[in-house]
Amino acid sequence: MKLLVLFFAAIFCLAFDSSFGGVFTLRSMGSITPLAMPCLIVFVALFAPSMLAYIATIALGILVDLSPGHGELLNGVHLIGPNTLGYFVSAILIVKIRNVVFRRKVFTIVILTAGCVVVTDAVEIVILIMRSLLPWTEPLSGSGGIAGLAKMLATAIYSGLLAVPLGWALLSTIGMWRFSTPTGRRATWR
Amino acid sequence: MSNFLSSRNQPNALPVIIGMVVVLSMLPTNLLLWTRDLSDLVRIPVIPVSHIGMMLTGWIRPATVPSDLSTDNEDRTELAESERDHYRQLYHAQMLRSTEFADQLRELQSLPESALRNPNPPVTLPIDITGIRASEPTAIVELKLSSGYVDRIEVGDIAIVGRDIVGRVIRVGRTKIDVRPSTHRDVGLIRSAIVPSHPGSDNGPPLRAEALVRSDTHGGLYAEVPAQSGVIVGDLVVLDDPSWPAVGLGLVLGVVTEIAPMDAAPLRAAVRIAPRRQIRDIVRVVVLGSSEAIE
Repeated sequence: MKLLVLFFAAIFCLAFDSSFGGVFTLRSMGSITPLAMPCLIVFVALFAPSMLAYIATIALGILVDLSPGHGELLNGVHLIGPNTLGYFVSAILIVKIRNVVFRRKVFTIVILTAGCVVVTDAVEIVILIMRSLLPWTEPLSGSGGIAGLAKMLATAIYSGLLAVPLGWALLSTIGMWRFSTPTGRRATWR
Repeated sequence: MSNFLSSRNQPNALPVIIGMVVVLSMLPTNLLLWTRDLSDLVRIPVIPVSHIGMMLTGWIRPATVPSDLSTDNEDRTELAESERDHYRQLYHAQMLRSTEFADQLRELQSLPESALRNPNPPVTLPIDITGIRASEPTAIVELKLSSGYVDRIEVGDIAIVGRDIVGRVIRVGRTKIDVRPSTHRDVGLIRSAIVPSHPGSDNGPPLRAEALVRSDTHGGLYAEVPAQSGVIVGDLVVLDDPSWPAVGLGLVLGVVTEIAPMDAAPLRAAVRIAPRRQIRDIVRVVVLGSSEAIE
């Protein structure tokens, strides 16, 4: 995989998620905003060698955790972990199933992107709960509940919709990424 | 068995990396201060792209016009409205400051004359938003910071749009500053005054009530006022907090949207306040700096 291509794709997705993605925000529906980074995570996890996919998703997760609005603690401190581990868990799941899906179909990327958002948020919740149980951290506060769950699901669906053009664009440029091709006799690029 | 060539015979450092990330996610906040500098570094290549994207966003989806402001495009009307807003802000500010001055007069008389002057009048600086979490109305916002302005902005300065306060600077880095919206849950209590939106003899006293405003964690503000204060929906909530920079006195925090009696305290009423402008809806803000004199 060409890391330079990944670098530029990551910059675009980071900029989208942390700034101009707001152009797609559904303000009348609770400020639901699609995410671009999960689509890139899914794409990398589908096609990159497994170890490289894990490392790349961890690196991308750290970048997201260091973005404004993510992992906010007091005084502008960022919490590294929620997105890092969330993307990593998502990558593990995708690598496990990628041999049995039609990975060159946009629909596959759409479904997996929505799933990636759900898994990442679930991991983030687990981390925040574990963190709130520690004596040196503040107890968990905020209002989530059903409304938060609905917003998360809506974000996942919206991110999946965004993955239609974004996944198509990524698949169209797959030659630039120089992924390793399968070597098994019966392995094919589906 | 994997079908990929490069997945074999590699050192398995992954568990170590994951373990380190898990430990990092559990560390207390005071041990994570270095992440602020790390965030500055990793944002360097992202900020130009974000800047371009935000400019396109402002072009594609411009900020919404508050409902209480006129949409007339004629130049004379716009000029009259801007002057009206300007003088209304001055009126609120002067009213609040004169009240405060009356209370502090004895103490000020005992000070030397130099202390009565303001050596650091504020400066207004145009700032570009380069990072915002659009799905969270109260999230901290990242602004691009030009090198020439590094020494002119300090922590605590106020970010405004028009005459509406949208946030306050909480951190100044080398390439960016972080602004915390007024509706953020960590802002705490803000001393404010509730005044009529259109001051005049027909609208009752110029000062309805003084209140301590706090975030309602849902993108709005909340306050409690005496039930007989006469506060009505549409009244403006203006800043009157001495812990904020003096230049912000009289600026608008929001507009009263709901008043409800409190069962637990019948003599008081709960007031819901909505900001007229939110930092997520705009492309540019102005920071009222207070660290250097205007040349």
